[in-house]
Amino acid sequence: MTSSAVLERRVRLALALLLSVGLALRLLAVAWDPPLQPDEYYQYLEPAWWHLTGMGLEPWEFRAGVRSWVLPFYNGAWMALLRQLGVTSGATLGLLVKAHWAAINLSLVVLAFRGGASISRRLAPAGTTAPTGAQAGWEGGLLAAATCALFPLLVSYAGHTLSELPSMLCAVAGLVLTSELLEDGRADSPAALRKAAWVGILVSSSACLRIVNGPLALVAPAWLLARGRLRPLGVLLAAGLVPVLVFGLVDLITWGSFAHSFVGYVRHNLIEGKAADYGTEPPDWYLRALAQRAGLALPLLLLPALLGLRAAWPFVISALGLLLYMSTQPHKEERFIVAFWPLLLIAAGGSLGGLLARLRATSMALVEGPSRVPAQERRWQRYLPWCAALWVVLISLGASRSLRSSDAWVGQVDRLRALSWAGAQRDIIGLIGDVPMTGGALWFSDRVPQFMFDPALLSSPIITHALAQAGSDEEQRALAAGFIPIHRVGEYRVLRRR
Amino acid sequence: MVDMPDCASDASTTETLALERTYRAVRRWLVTVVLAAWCVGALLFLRADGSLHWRIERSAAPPASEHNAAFYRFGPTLRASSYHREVPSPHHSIFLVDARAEPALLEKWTSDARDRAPWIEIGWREPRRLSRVVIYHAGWREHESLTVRRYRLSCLVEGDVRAASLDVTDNVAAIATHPLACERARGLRIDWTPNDASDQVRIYEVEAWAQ
Repeated sequence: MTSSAVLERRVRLALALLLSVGLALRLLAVAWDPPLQPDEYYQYLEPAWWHLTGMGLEPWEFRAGVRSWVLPFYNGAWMALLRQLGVTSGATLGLLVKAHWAAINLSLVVLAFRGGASISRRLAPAGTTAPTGAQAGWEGGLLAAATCALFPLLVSYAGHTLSELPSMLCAVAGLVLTSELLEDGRADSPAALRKAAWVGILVSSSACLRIVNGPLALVAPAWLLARGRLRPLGVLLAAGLVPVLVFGLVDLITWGSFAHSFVGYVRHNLIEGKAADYGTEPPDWYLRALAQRAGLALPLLLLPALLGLRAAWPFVISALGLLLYMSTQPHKEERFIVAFWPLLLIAAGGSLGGLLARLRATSMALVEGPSRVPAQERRWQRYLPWCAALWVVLISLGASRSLRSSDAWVGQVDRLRALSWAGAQRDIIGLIGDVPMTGGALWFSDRVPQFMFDPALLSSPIITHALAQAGSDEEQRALAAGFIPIHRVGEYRVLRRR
Repeated sequence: MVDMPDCASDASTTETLALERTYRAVRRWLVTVVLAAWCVGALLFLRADGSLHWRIERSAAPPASEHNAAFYRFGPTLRASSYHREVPSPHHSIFLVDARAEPALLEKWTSDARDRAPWIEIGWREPRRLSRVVIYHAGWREHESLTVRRYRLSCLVEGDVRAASLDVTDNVAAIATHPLACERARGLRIDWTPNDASDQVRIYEVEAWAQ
């Protein structure tokens, strides 16, 4: 077997190993990191649930028509299929949909490999890596793939049904394909134009799935324009219209006018600034959040990314651009800038891989060149892979100070489990709870209603169960009204009318 | 180091190519299966109409004498084209059959704002001789303009067949009693016409008196 075939096989094995570890971690995260953000069920799961079962809570966004039905429809199709196959519990369906998104998130590892390899190839001096084949630029590819497979924030977010995640995948895929396209000297070949069409579909989908990620979609066409690749640029722009048409027509069917949710979203959040009703943060909030989340990992990522800026600039600009313009918005949440991480990880991994390849090439030149260097003086070469592995470990550990995707709603985990338990009770007719902000009807029931805690409802005979925090006023009132505790999950109690 | 072609490397290349072909075939097959499965789910999703269907657990046996067959304790089946799902105060259809004498404003069924042809169905477990239907409109507890003026009552018999119907066109009574004689009735359906195009239907209670 030739050495390049051995290398290719090793690279494939390493990538397969990373995919396996990445999948295992993501599935663990699905079990460990339940749906914590109200948006992830109210915006993307609950509408599908009520369309299928007739039961569900409606957030204001779906009354005002500022959300697209595309993602609820996509999730709902899986739910409908699974219900047909006998999986009727909302909580189980929710977990399966989460697991499916976690599996899709694994494509990030492959994308990171391709993006990192592409950057690495651009940085490596000519002749040090094969121009084609799976092993070309492998150093950067594997480093980027390893960091994306293991990075705690990406792992914990993987299974969350938020629009940020598919939008992030599309944006990253678009940029990676653009990078590969620009490596191809034959810019107008059918393969290059096909790739350009995919880039158009991907970056446009990224913006359609999450409108505020729109500026990210501009980097790929700007890159092509800067390199004078006008024909692929034209194909990209034309293909980019396809998702716009699909999303616009779905709005026309569901909301009554073309791109209704897009217009409503922009007006509500960006023009009228009503997103600020959910809290405002100072402009440097994201910087502090990144530093707090990543700690030591941040400089370890920024340094190689900046060293390899010559090849990695579109990724770095995308990451920093996202950070900058999201910082101008008053309402800030960490999930809004989750795409920052894979962009930076690919830039850093690819750049570091390129630098390693350059070092190796220099040392090979010394060995084979006229002034041969003795073997003992080249021993440092052996430590290069270990240094790279240490870099990956340090990044993963540095960013693992907080493993959950959100700290804001962690207190709701017990409530979610208690809610699911209550919904499965055979004799339940109606539930009164403290705040219906967790789980919606999906995590509760496909028929039984739940209501906000209202003393007037305590006397209603159809309110058979109550859910309250142990020791809370609500629990005291329920006890006084004749309810008795029947189940406890952490701080939460389920009570039943005597 | 320069790679030297030999027989072993040829065999390895052939093996790699075969593996590559198998991998591509498996990937294509998997993508096709997943897409087909999703399409089936999408069709099922599109077929759903968002209506609610709930058979309530029976907690009391109905008496032999005349009684309200819709009462929740007798375990009726509740169906509704929609309900007002707003967080945090949903107006669920269970309130139609709770027999509350002094309900709070929340305790009524309200159709969804986008539901232009709202309807409800209340089914009971055994055939009954239906005699009258009593409807407690929102005008009972709230402004009289919320009382629905036009609706159609239909008696459902076995197989959800509509046996008898009554069109109400000019109702003004907040508590409206409608005679509806029907043998072997298994349920009641009411098709509502909102008072104006943008209005919702608001009903506190429906009673189906039967024996």
